[in-house]
Amino acid sequence: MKSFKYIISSLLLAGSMGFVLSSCSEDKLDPNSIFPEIDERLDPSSATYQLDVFLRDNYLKPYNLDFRYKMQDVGTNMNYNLVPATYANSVDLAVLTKYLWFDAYAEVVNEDFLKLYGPRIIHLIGSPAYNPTSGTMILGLAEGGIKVSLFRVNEMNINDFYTMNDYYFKTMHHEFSHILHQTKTYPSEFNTVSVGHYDSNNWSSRDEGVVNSLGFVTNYASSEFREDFAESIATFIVLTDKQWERIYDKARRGWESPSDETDFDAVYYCYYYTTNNSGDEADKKYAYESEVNFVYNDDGSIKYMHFKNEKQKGVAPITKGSDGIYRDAKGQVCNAQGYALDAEGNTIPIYVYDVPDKDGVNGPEVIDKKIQICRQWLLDEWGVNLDKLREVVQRRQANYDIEELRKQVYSIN
Amino acid sequence: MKYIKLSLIATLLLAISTSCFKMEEEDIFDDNAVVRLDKAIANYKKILNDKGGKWMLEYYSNSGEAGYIYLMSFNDNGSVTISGKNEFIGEVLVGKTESTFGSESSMWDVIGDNGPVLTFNTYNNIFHIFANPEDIGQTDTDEQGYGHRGDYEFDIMKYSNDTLYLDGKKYEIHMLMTRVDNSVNDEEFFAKLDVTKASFSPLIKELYLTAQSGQRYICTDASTGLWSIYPEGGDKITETQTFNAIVTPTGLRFMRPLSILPEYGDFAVQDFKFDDSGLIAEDGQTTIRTAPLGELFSDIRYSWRINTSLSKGTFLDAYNAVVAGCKSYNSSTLEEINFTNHVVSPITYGAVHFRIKLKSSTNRLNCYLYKETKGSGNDVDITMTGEGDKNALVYRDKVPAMKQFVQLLNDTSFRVETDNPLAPTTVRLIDKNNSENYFTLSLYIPV
Repeated sequence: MKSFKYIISSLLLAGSMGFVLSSCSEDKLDPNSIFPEIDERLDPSSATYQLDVFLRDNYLKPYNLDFRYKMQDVGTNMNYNLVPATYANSVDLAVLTKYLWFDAYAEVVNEDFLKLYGPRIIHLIGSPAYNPTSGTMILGLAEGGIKVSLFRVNEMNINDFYTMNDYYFKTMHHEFSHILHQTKTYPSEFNTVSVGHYDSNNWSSRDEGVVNSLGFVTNYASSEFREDFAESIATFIVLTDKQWERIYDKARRGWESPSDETDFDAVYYCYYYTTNNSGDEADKKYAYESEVNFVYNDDGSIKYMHFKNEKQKGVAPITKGSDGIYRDAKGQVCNAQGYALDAEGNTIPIYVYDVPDKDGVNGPEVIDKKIQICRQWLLDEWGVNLDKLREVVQRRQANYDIEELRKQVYSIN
Repeated sequence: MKYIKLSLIATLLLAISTSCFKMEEEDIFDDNAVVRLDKAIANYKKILNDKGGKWMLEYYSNSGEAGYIYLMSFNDNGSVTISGKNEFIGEVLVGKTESTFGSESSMWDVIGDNGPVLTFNTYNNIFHIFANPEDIGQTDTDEQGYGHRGDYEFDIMKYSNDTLYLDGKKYEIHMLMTRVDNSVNDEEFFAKLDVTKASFSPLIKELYLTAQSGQRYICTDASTGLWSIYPEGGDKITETQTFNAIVTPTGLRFMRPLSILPEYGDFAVQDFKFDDSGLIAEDGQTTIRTAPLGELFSDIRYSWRINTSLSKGTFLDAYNAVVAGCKSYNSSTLEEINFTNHVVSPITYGAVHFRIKLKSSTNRLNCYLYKETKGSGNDVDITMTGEGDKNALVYRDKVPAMKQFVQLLNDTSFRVETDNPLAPTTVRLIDKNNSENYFTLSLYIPV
């Protein structure tokens, strides 16, 4: 009886399961897509036809790259308040990006390089992405090796080379460096070069001279090693020889600030002097480079530095001796105006000295080391000669004719 | 126990089988969601381009600022010309915080998102200023990263009666976009709108909103577009609420329905149209008015200056007689007669103020003859007290026309009228018995 009940129960269960399964059977799939077919032909009557044709022919077809100049906020971080780019600046940036980035790589490596490794989307944003909490702004983003966002497009001033370099050209190479190292990792040795000197929270308030001296090319490079890597490559590529030498000059110096270390607005100096050449630490003052005069030896080395428009004064009271010579309270010979005189009878300048470099880092050596790691990695992993790339980009940056480049868009019929 | 087990198994099987049971239902929609969205996008593009494609957008960036009108001319080539007139456009175009007209073309599209979205997807200097995350500059706070927090993409909620109902996509403020005749000239449109905006004057300190229940609310700052409203008899500090509004060609629209302190009587109105006396809401009963003109004229917070070129009859004759009398008395020149308030601490006297330039001096002599003014509805009675300050008493004795002038005021019953019911900064003080006799007076702020 017990087995009979078991059989009945099993039959019931099997029958029910059969019913359940049959009730869940699927319909046949509709062979027609629910998505309407997209007509990819461009409409010649469209107000943006010229740029759209340029982008199709120069980015979409050769690189399978969607160059988005019409803002799509779903393609951005919605936590930021952002605005679209202007059409005119989008045209300029489209032709410049091609000329200074894509064509430069094509010249240095080959045309397939960016087809293989370039981003699939470039998204132009009119405004910066401000972070009001930290007081920073984002100029560019590289996301997953796929997409590069370029911000602040509406503030572009095509005639301001340095700003163009800093905000846009450098950003392109910076973000592409991210894409490359997100694809093939760079040597971990790079991360050890400046270990202990990164500051991810306060990098934006760090003085450029101070971070150069610590071996970073920019203060953003000092935020973390991945940014350091991208900044090192991008800065090396786009900065002129003069600008690059300036970084080295600041890197080899020592920097001090009269302000407390916790002062985010602290100004740092690399020159100091003491009031009236007293030599006392208590009389220590700092000078900007523009306030310093340099006196050179015949061999071109610096003989001494002095504070502009200021001379050593005698210590009051200044009295005229019976010999007709003025002397101060310490017996120092002075002129009638009370300025101290040296043995030759010349007034004595206020001497200026270099602030000693106490950070324990040889800035230029560290920067060199990082650039060398980048150089070797680009060559070994990507076949990119960094020095040649820099040379090509420098030539293109220095010589581009925006009017000619624009014709690529505005002459399209 | 066995029955319980069997029952449980049976119930379980029934539940499983019915949970997957295939129901044949009628499709609610004719097409799938993608096709419907695509159709909606095409439909809204057509609507926007139809009939010349010109629209008026009532735009609010946030609840703490006035709203602004934009005119948008949509073109089916993907471009849109946007015109506006406000002080932020002035900052962009002329570097000054003054209301300035501007017009610029950029791109638009209707895209699919959660639904059809109207987007202005390339930057327009006239329009995107409210979405730009830069510091506003006119405020004490730092808005960098936020700006005005205005939207430039809008969920299209529905279309009805030549009106598109939009929701700002990010900040979700409801806005209206209504079709405008394509022949409208943008600059002329905004010039006319300026005239309409002058319906609200900063000189008029209060307007009164009267709800259906009869409860009155006091409205201040109407001319700024950011109204402060509190119940009459209520606490101004704790019960004031602010509502931002847009002046439209036909009236006033608040960003959100006025729903003020339910304990004073629940009501919710948002749209007001101009009528002969001010504004009336869509419910046909809620109104916004000034105080009755007689009361307004009598209010000691206001001072009025006679405009002789717009005055007439025996009143103008009496005025001119004072001018002649002053000249005759000591060659002095009567420059103004004002209805003002004269402060002789601690008392403030209502006064008829004669401002006289003496022949031998560049200084002006101020003469105050005291009065009391009583207003009721649109009527006013002026009673001269017979007193005045020292200067006035001397002149009144020496210039008989001055005495006759104030006697005329004393003897006349007046009615007050205006052409601008919400901003009666210019009124006519009319002899109730003879409408050919009147003074025209303008509000002014005594220095």
